[in-house]
Amino acid sequence: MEEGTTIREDICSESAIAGRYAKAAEQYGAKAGRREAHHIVPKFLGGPADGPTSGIDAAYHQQITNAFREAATSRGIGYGGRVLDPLNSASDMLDLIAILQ
Amino acid sequence: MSLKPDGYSVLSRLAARAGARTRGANLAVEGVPDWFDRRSTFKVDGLRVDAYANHSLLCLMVSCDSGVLFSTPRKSVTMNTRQLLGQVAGRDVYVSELGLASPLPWIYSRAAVEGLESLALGDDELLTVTVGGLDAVMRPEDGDSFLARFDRLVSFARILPAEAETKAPLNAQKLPAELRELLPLVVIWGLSDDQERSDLIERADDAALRGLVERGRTRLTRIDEFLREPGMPKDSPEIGRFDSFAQAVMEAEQELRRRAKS
Repeated sequence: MEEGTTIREDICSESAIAGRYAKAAEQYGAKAGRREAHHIVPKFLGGPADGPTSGIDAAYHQQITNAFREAATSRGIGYGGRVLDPLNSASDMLDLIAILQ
Repeated sequence: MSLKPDGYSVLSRLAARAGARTRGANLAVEGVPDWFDRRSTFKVDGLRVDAYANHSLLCLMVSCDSGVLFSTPRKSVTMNTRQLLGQVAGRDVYVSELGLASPLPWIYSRAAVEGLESLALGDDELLTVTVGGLDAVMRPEDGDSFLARFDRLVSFARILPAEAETKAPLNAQKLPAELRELLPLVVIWGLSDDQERSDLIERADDAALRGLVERGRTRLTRIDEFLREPGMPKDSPEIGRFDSFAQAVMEAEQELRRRAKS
């Protein structure tokens, strides 16, 4: 390996996913092991009504939901704050992308 | 010449037999490159079935009282079944490496082995049994033989060991006084499964949605504060249900806007 090369964790690797799931199970044990549908682009952030979904572990789903809520409300979006309309507003789309990252 | 059966035609047969319709969907499933873009929801002997199709596969979700977690004949990344338990009915069975909802010893019972044998899962198929239900990604076959196989899947769902009753009721005393009056609405709308919540909102009439928005909208900021309160355990049912309720309020508002435009 060349000097100065940065090793970046593959966040989509099976072991990385397993690590996140283990953490979620620790926090939300009562939900772990149950599958829930997850809106990949949350509807409360302006995701389309017929937007894509995926079935994931419910404890991990709760963790993702919390992360989205934190990211949104810290920008004054959702939960009584600004309502995003990303399909009709470029700046709202940028806000949405920032939250999803 | 016989045409190879495709997922859509088999889904239509399943739906027609149950007296249900099919509609568009947008479901991503691990390991499957093509999205499942048709869907039908119906009941079979009291069990809810969400059936999805794409051209080459079906994804069948059966809700039941299952209290166990495993997948076969492969791992499920999205349910984190990575630990090889061994073989049952000649197929590898994977369980949670965290020991969640272990299927032991039931998985070795005669009923379980026969049930799994009856499904005759192929290498490219995947059965994932989770707490609260099962889902199976299966190849379509000639209509009649697939219907019989589907019936065996539902029968298998029925024999899964039941979940111990762990659902604690919502406790009004744990809620801030100004949120307590929302409890009856939270019980209805506070569903954490995004698809179930979406379906409920989609089916609701305008008056129900307006009532939800009118009562919930002014409390969203307070709910957000409640969700952050340091004293509340993050995994309490009150936190989970109010979080989902807040999303339902925001989604109902969007749904009303969408209906007004159309």
